[in-house]
Amino acid sequence: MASQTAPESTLAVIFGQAVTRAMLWQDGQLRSTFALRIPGELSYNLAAVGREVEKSFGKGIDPSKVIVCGPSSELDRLKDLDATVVTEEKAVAAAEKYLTAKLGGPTAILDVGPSAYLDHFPADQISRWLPFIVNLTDVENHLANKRDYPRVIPVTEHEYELDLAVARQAIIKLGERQGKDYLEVEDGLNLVVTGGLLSGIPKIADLLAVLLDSFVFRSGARIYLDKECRLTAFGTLLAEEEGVDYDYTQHLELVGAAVHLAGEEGSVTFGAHDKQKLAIAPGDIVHLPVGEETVQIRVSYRKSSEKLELSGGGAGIYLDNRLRPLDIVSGSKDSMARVAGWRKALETEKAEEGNDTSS
Amino acid sequence: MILPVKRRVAEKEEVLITRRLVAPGKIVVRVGDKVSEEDILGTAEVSSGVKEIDLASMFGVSAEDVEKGLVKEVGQAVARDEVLFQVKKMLGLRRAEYTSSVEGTISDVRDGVVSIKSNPTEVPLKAGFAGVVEKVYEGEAVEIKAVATTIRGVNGFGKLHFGEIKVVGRGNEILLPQDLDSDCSGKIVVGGALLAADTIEKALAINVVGFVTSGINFREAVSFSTREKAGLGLLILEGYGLCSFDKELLELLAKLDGHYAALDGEEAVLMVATGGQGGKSASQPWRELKTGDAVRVVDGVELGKIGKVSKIEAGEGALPSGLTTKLIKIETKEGDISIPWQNLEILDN
Repeated sequence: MASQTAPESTLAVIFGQAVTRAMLWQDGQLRSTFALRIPGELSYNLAAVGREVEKSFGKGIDPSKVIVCGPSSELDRLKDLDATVVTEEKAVAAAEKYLTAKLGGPTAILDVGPSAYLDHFPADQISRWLPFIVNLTDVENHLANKRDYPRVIPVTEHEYELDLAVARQAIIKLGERQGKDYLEVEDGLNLVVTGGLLSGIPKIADLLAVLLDSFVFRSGARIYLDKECRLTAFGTLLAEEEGVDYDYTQHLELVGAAVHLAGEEGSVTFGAHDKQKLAIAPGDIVHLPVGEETVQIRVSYRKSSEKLELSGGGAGIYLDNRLRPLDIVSGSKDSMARVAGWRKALETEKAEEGNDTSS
Repeated sequence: MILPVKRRVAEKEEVLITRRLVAPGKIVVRVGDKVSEEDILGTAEVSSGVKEIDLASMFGVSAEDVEKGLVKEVGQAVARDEVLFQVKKMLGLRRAEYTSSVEGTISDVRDGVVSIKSNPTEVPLKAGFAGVVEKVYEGEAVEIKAVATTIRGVNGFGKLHFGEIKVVGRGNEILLPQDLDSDCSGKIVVGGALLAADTIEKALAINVVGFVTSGINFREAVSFSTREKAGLGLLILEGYGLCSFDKELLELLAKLDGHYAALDGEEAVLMVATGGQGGKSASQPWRELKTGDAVRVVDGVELGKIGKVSKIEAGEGALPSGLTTKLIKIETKEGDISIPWQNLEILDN
C-alpha cells in the first residue's frame, strides 16, 4: 500500500475472458495497459498485468487503492486479494450512469467480448450470417477452438466473418433471454459498443451490419464505439471512485444513428430546413447523410405514418426497412446474396472509414 | 508482449498415478514400498452375479419334479461341469441331466428355477508404473509416485485410462478404421491428423482404451463424453479440425511405443511410464516473448504449427481480416509465417 508521501492513486484491474486490463488514475491522469489472459489461477493474470503496469507506468507505482473486477463465477477467488472487489454488473452500471450524464440521455453499454464464445451456438445459426458457403463442421471446430483460446484474433476474412456472426447471435440471445426474437432498444438511447472484436472492428459498416441485424431500434438509437475497449475498466474505477474527473467521451466515436422501420413500402421526408424525399421499399437499408443537427424524419406508408427526430452527429442516420425476423437460412444462395446486399447498402463513405485497431 | 508458456513435453517428470481396483478387494502393498511395473498391488473380487436356470421349462417338467431331481440342495457349492439335475423321461427309459456352466452356490429354488450365485473372480491390479507407494486407499486404490514422460494437449475427455502406447497411421493423414487392428485392443492408440467417426466406432468394437490425436472434429470429440462409459479416453494435442501431428512429437511417441501409459482426459495429459530418476516439472505460466523462442500457433489456418521466433515486428501489420496488430515472424520447417502475437503460446520444452 502507499507510503505517506506517495500521491493518491487508484489502480483498477479487470479480469476479462481474453485479457486482464489495468487502469491507473493518478494526478488527474488516466493510464491503462493490459496482458493476455493466462489460463489457470487469477494470480498468474494479476502478476502478468502487474509486469505490464511496471513496463508502462514505471516500477514506482504504489497505488493507495486497488479495485478488482471479474466474472461473478470467479468473485470468490477475487475476495482473497487485498483489494476492493466489484462485480462486472456494478462496473458496467457505473459506466452507464457516467455516460448517461455526459452524453445527455439514457445510455446502455453493449459488451460483446470473447465471453460470447462460451455460449454454444448451433453452427447453422452462425453460418446463416455468412456471405459465403461454409462447412458446418468447420464452423463447430472454429467455435470450439475459440472457446479454448478466446484471446485469438481473426486472421482471414472467413474467420473475421465467423466472429461477427457470433457477435450477432450473442446479441440476439440477449433478446431471447427476455422472451423476444430480438432485443428492442428503447426511445432515444445512446448505445455504446465495447469489447472484443467490435471495439477493434476495421470497418464501421461491419459494426452497423451486426447491430442492425441483431437489434430492433424502434425509435432510433445513437451508436457510439469505444475504440480503445477500456470502458469496463473505467467503470470499475468509477464504481469505487465517483470523483474521477476525466472525460472518457473523448475516446468514443459516434458512428451514426439507426432506426428500424415497419418493413412496408413508403417514402421518407427528412431534413432540418430543406426537406428531401426518397422512396423506400421493404428490405431496404438507407443511409441519410445528415449533418450534426437534429433532423425531423417523416416516414409515410400506405395506411399510416410515423415521425422521428434524430441526430446522427455528422455520421448520418441509417434507416432499416427490413421485416423481422430476417429471412435467412444456412446454406441458401439467396440468403447469402441477401446478406451481401445488406452489407453493401451499409458501405457508405463514412462507414467505410478504417478504424484504428492499434489499441 | 507477455504470452502464456506451455510445457508440452516433460521427460523424467515426477507424477502421481492412482491405480484403482476394478471392484472392492484387497491391497497388498504398503506406503513406502518400492514397486516395479509388473508387481501386483492388490486383487479385486468381482462377482459375476446370480445365474437363473429355468430347469422346468428346459426339460418340460413340473416345479415339483425339479425339486425331486436336484442333486444338490440350497446352500451347497456347485462346480463347473458338475451334474446339478437329473430326470427320467420316456417312461423311465431315458435319463436327462443338466451340468452346471458356472461355479458357485445354489442360492434359491423356486417355481422350477434354480439360482446359482457365482463365486467371485479375482482380478489382480498390476502397478504398470515403477515407483514408490505414496498412499494406500484400503480395499480400493494405490497412489504411486513414479517417473514418466508427460505430454500435454489442449483438451481431452474421460478420466484416467491405462494401456500400452500403440502408434498407428500417419501424422498428416486422417486416422481411418483400417489403421486399427486387433493388436490395438487394450491399448492407447496414437496417430492421425484427424480422428474419423468410423475409427472411433471400430475402436469401441475392438476395445481400444483411448486415443491421442492431433486433431478431431468437435462433434466427434463431444461424443467421447457419452462413450466414456465404454472406457474410451481422448487427448487432443493441437485442436479441433484437421491438424498435422508435430513431427518431433510423433517421433518421440514412436520411441515410446509399447510403453505403459496413463491417459488423463480431464487434465489433458498423457503420462508414459519411463522409470528412472525424475523431478517435479516447474514451468513459469507466462513470460515476455523474445526472439528465438519456440512458439505454437493456437488457432486459425496455421493451427498447431510450431517454429522459432525470428523477428518481432516493430510496428503493426495488417491482416487479411482487416485488423491490424503486432506480427511475429516465425521460422517453421515448412517456411516462414507471420502470426499475430495474440494467436501464439510459448513452448517450454
